[in-house]
Amino acid sequence: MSRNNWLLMLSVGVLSLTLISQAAHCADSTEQINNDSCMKCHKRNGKMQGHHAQDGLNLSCSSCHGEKGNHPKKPNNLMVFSADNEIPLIAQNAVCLTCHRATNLGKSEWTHNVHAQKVNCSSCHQLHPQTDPMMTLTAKQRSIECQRCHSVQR
Amino acid sequence: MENSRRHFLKNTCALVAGVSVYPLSGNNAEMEPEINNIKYALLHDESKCIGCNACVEACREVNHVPEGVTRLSIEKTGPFGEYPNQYYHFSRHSCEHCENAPCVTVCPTGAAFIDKETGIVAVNADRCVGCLYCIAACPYEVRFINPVTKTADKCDFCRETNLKEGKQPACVEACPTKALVFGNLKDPESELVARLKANPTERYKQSLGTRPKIFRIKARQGEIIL
Amino acid sequence: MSAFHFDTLVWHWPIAIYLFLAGVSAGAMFFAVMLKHGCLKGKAYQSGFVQAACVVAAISVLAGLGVLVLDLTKPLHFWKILVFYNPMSVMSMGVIILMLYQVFMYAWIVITFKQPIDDLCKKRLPIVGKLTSVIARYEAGITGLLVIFSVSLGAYTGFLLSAQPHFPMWNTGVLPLLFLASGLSSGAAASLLGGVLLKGNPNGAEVRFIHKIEIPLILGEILLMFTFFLGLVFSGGQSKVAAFNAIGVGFWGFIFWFGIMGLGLSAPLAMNLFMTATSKRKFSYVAGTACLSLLGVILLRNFILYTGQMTVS
Repeated sequence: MSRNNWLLMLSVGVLSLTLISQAAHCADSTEQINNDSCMKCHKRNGKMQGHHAQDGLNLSCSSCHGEKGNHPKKPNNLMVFSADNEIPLIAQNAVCLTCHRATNLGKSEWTHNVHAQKVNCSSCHQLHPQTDPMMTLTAKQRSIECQRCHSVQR
Repeated sequence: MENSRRHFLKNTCALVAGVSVYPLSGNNAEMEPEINNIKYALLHDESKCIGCNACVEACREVNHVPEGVTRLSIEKTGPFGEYPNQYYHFSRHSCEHCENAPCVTVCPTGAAFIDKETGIVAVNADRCVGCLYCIAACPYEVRFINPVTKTADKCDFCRETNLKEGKQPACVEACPTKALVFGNLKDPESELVARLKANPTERYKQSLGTRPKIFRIKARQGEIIL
Repeated sequence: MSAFHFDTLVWHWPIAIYLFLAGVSAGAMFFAVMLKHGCLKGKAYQSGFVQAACVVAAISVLAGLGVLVLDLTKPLHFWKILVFYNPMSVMSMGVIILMLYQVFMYAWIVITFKQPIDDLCKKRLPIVGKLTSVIARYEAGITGLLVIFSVSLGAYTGFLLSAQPHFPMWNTGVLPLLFLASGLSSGAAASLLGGVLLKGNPNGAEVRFIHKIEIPLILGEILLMFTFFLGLVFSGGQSKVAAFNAIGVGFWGFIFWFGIMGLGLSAPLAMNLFMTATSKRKFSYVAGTACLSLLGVILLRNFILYTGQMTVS
């Protein structure tokens, strides 16, 4: 009886270890996008490590930032995600909305609805680091995030 | 025998009458509290509220409210309107500091009480035995059992914390949009009274005769529900 | 919404058990007094039914208080309820009633069983005999107050719930009357059940006497039930919603129509009428009817407790 239990536990352990390592491997595999031709020059910007980098999504830098075109000469058609540039907010957010449906965003997080087409996605979200800071907010950090913009003077 | 029975009946009737009238006389005294010059109230301007929950977090920190329960929450309804111009309604859910508070009336030990000096409905944790009567009786469902102290707990306008230190309640201090205004209803110069005079306000469940002291400036209507 | 778990639920089944036990105690004591003074007089202590009523009343009130204390979040602090009073609070008044009720209950039991108590203690503790004589001198007063306090206790179980503006189904004046009536009939049922178990004659004078009171009592209960729900419906608003929620389709609707109206009220009424008409009173008839009545009252307490909290004002 006890030997059977041991065997069961052992096999469950081995199985879960294999599964975990498999899953970790999947998430970690970002070779494709980091061997992109852009990376020849942009190594100094660091690696692309976020959720969007995983090979399974089959994304390249140009999927979001647009084709190279004139770059690095100016003017060019590259998309730069920032609130401080000339590119219209609607155009910047439209890139994200090619995959993300507005209704689904609203369902998963209500604040998307009230900021739609008023705030850059990139004002809150960061896709290059391993984790998007928005995904790991505590309740306190979350309300501080709101206060960055919504504050009146006392 | 006849005499003693009559005597007994007479005495019993007097006793029953006395016992049943006594609480009523107490009631009258409760309805007209002694004259004082502080009666705290709170105004929630829902048109300014953004639902950031800064008030909730501040309350938790200042009053050491354990995780899993809260003295204060912001209830969100919506979305209203069409994308991309949608909006939500936010409404504060916390003790209404009723003038005629059902929790105070039902509490068997007097643990729930109205502070005569300030009009704040508060809890004397030492007296509370945890019978849950106040939690069942509160029409606003704002009371809860604190899992650490095992006593009934709720918002007391920071009576034991910020107010004691001469500060505004934690939620009011934390609100980034100044949607909360705390003040003395009996002070005609206060911002609270000025705002109450200038705006139409609403109080919840007034028909129950509780006379709540949380006032609300409503945001624009979302939809018409019949 | 599940029948036993929902957001607005504050008081759980222990409270229903407490309300039931307090009602049983009040009802049993009421019928013990009625039996002694309306039927048996001085020989009351020999009757199995009076003995049963006294035992049931004493045990159930203590058990009820035990359940109540254990249900507090701070059970060890229960003494504060006995020390601090709030004259505005129904619960506080109820505690006073419960305490006084118990004093008079024990005093009345001592008076009623004076003969056997005196016999038992004659040799070793003659002081007990003197004590019982002193208490027996105030029999009229003690009996009168006991009746008043047992009726108050029965009604108090209803007032406890009806003092809450939060739940429209409870917040009505009929509830205390309904609970009083059902408490009395549960006391009668418990006395009958205990009596026949203690070798009381199922066709004795006591049973006939209790049946004479019980039949109008059950009719009154049905009438009160009708008034209770019709009153809620006529009040409109949330009261109406609460009433239809409670007795409509669903688990509690089934409990109400089948368990309470059927098994708890109609069946005992029919059995009582049958036993009165045919004068056939067997052990099984009396015991079975009493069990159905008790079941009905337990169900009624739980039904009112849970459905009352389902709809808020």
